[in-house]
Amino acid sequence: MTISDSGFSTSAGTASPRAIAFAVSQHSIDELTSVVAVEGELDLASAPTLKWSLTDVLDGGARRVVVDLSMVTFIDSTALGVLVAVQRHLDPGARIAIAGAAGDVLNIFELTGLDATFQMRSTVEEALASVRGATAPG
Amino acid sequence: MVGGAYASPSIARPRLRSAVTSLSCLLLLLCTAPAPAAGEAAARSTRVLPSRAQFAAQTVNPSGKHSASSPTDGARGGTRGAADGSGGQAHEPPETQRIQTPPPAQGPAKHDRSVPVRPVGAGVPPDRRASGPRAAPPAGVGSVSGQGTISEGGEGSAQQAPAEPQVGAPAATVRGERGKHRHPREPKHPHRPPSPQPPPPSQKPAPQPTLAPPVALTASAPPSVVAPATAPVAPVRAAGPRILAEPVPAAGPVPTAKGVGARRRRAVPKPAATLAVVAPALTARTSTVVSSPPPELGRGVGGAPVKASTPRRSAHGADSPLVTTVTKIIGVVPAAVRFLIAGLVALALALGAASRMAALRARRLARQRLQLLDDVGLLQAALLPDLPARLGPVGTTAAYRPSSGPAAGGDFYDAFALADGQLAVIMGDVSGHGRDALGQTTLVRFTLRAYLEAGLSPRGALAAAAPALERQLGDSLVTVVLATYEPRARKLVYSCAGHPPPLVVGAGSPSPVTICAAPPIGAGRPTGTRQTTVSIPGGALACFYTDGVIEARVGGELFGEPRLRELLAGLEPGASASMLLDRVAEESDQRPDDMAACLLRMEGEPLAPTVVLEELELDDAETRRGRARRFLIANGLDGAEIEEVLGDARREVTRDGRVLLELSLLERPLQVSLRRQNVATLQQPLQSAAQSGGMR
Repeated sequence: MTISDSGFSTSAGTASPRAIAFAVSQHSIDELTSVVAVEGELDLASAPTLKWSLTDVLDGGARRVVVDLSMVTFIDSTALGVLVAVQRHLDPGARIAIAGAAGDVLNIFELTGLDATFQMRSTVEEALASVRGATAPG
Repeated sequence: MVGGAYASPSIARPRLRSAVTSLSCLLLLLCTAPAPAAGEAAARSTRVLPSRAQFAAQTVNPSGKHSASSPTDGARGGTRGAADGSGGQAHEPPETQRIQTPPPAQGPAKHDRSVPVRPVGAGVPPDRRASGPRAAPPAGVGSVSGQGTISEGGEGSAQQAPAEPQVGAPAATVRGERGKHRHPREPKHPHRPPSPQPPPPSQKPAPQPTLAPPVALTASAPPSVVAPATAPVAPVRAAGPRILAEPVPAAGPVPTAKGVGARRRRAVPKPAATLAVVAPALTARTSTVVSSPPPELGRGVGGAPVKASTPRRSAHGADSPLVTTVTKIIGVVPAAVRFLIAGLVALALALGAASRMAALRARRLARQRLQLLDDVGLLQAALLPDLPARLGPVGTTAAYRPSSGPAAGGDFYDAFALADGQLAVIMGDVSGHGRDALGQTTLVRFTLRAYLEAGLSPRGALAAAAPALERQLGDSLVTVVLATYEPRARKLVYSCAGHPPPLVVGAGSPSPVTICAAPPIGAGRPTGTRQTTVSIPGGALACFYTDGVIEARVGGELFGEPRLRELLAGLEPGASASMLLDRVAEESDQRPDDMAACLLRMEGEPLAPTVVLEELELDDAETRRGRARRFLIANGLDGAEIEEVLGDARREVTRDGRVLLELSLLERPLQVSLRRQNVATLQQPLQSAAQSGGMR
């Protein structure tokens, strides 16, 4: 199923000066694989949107999901909790990977020790390879 | 609270009931007033006449001429006397007519009347009699006509003279009756007063006032004047003297005709009105009483009044003041206005009751609010306790700044002394918000505290508590840092679970390695896998904080750890955690998350704190991840050492599933040791703690 560019646009709750309009979009690579791209700040206000989007994709039958965070500027514990919850409730055999986390976002993943919880890759391609079963370096 | 709330409404109800009751009484009285009031006005103008006429008739009809003639006041008596002389009834009409015409010469006539009226047979001073100019004119009739209705007194002294005796009896009777009624309220009729002599019993100083009121009274109760005058005389007598006494003073000054007439008029309506009002009311109430004195009724004109008066007398003691006043007021007010007033009074009472109920409700709500605030305060104290100023040689302060937005809630902290003299600190953040977060926060805080107090190391407490807590946290994540400080060795040991490590600032500040950080509780993975030991030889400040501090926004940027470190370095000695958070709040534009901070102040010369030990637990997958390598690199191992260590670690892991990497950074070259330590179960750690009396 293809839900292309379904823009869930919400402004960041904090309305900071550098706030980028939050947006979540997803597109399917194939029947079982989807990429969910996030843009802007992932905080308390926008985390629910990410959750709905991921739940949508998984309910739609996708078993390999890549979350592209390359356009995300900030992520807090709420959004991390959303990602953790999604991964814990994955169907057996389904896999999820985080792609493109960098800068502050990567630091937060590291600080919270969640960089070991998720499959984290630098690019979407690598993430897709990991969820498709290709072995990836630790 | 609840009891108080229930007490107030119960007090309001009786008051409401009494208000309603009094209002009902008021309305009842108002309803009973109209009839007599309406009649009063009419009666005023015509009362005197009919009464007189009736009296005349009565005087004429009854065999007892004396009584017949006497009923009315002196004037009337005179008139009647004349009437009697003329034939009685025949005179009535003329008398009536005459009575109706306003007597121009009422003034003097009154005098005369008053005088002659009394001394029925004895009371009237001869002077008066003689003076009665009115008397000159057709004795009874003439005087009557001349004086008109009110000119009771002026009905010809001449007539009075002869009529006196007659008038005395009946007049006395009537007057007496009337007088009774009148006594309570009416001013003495001027005409009556004149006689200085006490009226003989027979005399019923034909109360001229009685003439007026009697009109109505007579109508109400056809007086059977025939009734033995003696009977009524007694009561009349009582009234008589009173009446007589009253008029006396009035007679003295010789009031003007108008004045007297007015007085009379007034007197007349009042008693009549009162009697009329009371009559129906009293009649209803005191039917028995009314029936008892038939002779009084027989008095005729006074009958009704008598009737009313008697029962009234009996009832007077009980309600005369209220009834009298109310009736008087009612009598003056027209019916329409009465109803309006009644409606307004009812409205006022209803509004008063409503406002009282509202006040009671407001009081109850205020009490509930205070109760709720107390409860919230208790909860807050449970989550964010007040710390003792000092725990051993360490000064401790903590502060909390809740977020104003929806992210409020979730932060918790604690600092307490352990049995072995150490000091323990907990600082954490539950990701959930709202009501659920409160329960989870307390659960995590006290569970971790219990494990620390049992003697487990920070890392051990986390590793043991996480599986148990995870089952109860649902989807919530808990980031937390546990720390213990040994004041003698001056070593701070801490273990983070997804939480920022504490900043130790002294003469310098080591940057903790955050690689291979342990995950938060609730992430579905084992935690408590890392532990750091920092040596604090001199004075220093250890700051534990939550991510809300470093995630505050300053000009669009994150506050960040470096800025916090600078702030800590710049704090003056003695600064508290509260001051620190205030400074952070000042510098930042937005604070989307709660902020909490706990400061430990170690005394001594400022010396550089250093990390002396790093412990990292690895599983099979971890040994193969790039993280382990990066961790070793971050701690200063060179490539060869890293490969050696990792090779040994993998061997250990395959055997036991887990391996503990200990990096001793006290001296170079680094000491790396691999230990087999299973922290997934409590058995071994607790046994070790029991044996050694404390666990590191």
